[in-house]
Amino acid sequence: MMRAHIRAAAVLSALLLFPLAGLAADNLKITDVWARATPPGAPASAAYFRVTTDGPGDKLVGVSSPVAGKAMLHRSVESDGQVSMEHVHDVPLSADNPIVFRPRGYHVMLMQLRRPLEAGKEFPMTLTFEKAGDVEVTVTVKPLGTTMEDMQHGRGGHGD
Amino acid sequence: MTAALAACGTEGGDWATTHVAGTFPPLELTLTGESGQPLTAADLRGQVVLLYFGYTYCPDVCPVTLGKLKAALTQLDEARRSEVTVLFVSVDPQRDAPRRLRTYTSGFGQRFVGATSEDLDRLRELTSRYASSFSHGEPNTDGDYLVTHSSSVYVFDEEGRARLLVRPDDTPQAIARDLRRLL
Repeated sequence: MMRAHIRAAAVLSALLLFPLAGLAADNLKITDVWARATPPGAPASAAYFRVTTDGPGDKLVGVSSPVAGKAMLHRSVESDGQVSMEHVHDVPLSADNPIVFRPRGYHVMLMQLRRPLEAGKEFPMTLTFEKAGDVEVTVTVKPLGTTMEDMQHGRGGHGD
Repeated sequence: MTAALAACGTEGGDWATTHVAGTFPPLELTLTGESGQPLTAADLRGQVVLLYFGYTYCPDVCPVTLGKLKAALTQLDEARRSEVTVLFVSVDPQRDAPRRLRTYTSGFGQRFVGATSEDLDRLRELTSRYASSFSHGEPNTDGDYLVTHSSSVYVFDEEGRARLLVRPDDTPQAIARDLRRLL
């Protein structure tokens, strides 16, 4: 009985909350979602994707995935022959400015991985937008050595 | 193809990556190899060495760079490939014990070996020798910290002389072409 109540409450709140979020999320198109297979023993990996919108501006403000104890929005920055990473609080999105996460640039840092990411496998990841709310995407794990060029030419599934 | 041709450097003839002969000192290092044994430049004599500084917690740039070197090596025939060693030196010895480095480098192939030193000053000396440096950021509440390191790969010939600098935008094709020329 108690459980039924909780379920009903959950359904009700979903009905109340999701139509709004759904409307904003409908404008978003999230493509090229992939993560790099972890080198053996590596405790972290990175995920990449592209977000475009034909609706109003929005902001990517958070990320999470059940495969990682912790996931963060990061950016690799190269200057003067040195490379470093920085935590990013949010990434703006508009019709003119898509969000592009790619190697050596913006990426989701997946930390405290519960198990290694194996090429060919998939896992869920939730992107949180300021207006569109949570959007769940399916991440495809690509082999070590996969480049953005591979992804754009549809070669991402190959490698050795 | 056009990109590969356009990438031909003008410096030092038609090297596709950056020719640095005479700019950097020869390969000289005393580290702990991935097997836990000392590793010196003498152990690497006779091999073309691709030296790269990084760390295994690095989720983006390090696996991208090592993956690119792997792609370049697969373009070489087996005889040439056997004369190349990619030396991944961790500048994060606190988290990268030799055993972890051995496991990590095995994911890229047989020609990849790891090394580090518990002595941070020794690592500083090594990076500064090649006009580079590294630094560790402040740990967050989970104890995680970020590491700043060199984005380039230093290439030494079989006699340990510094010959080339592979920069982040160099393609596997460009690297493979220059390696064939060195070997």
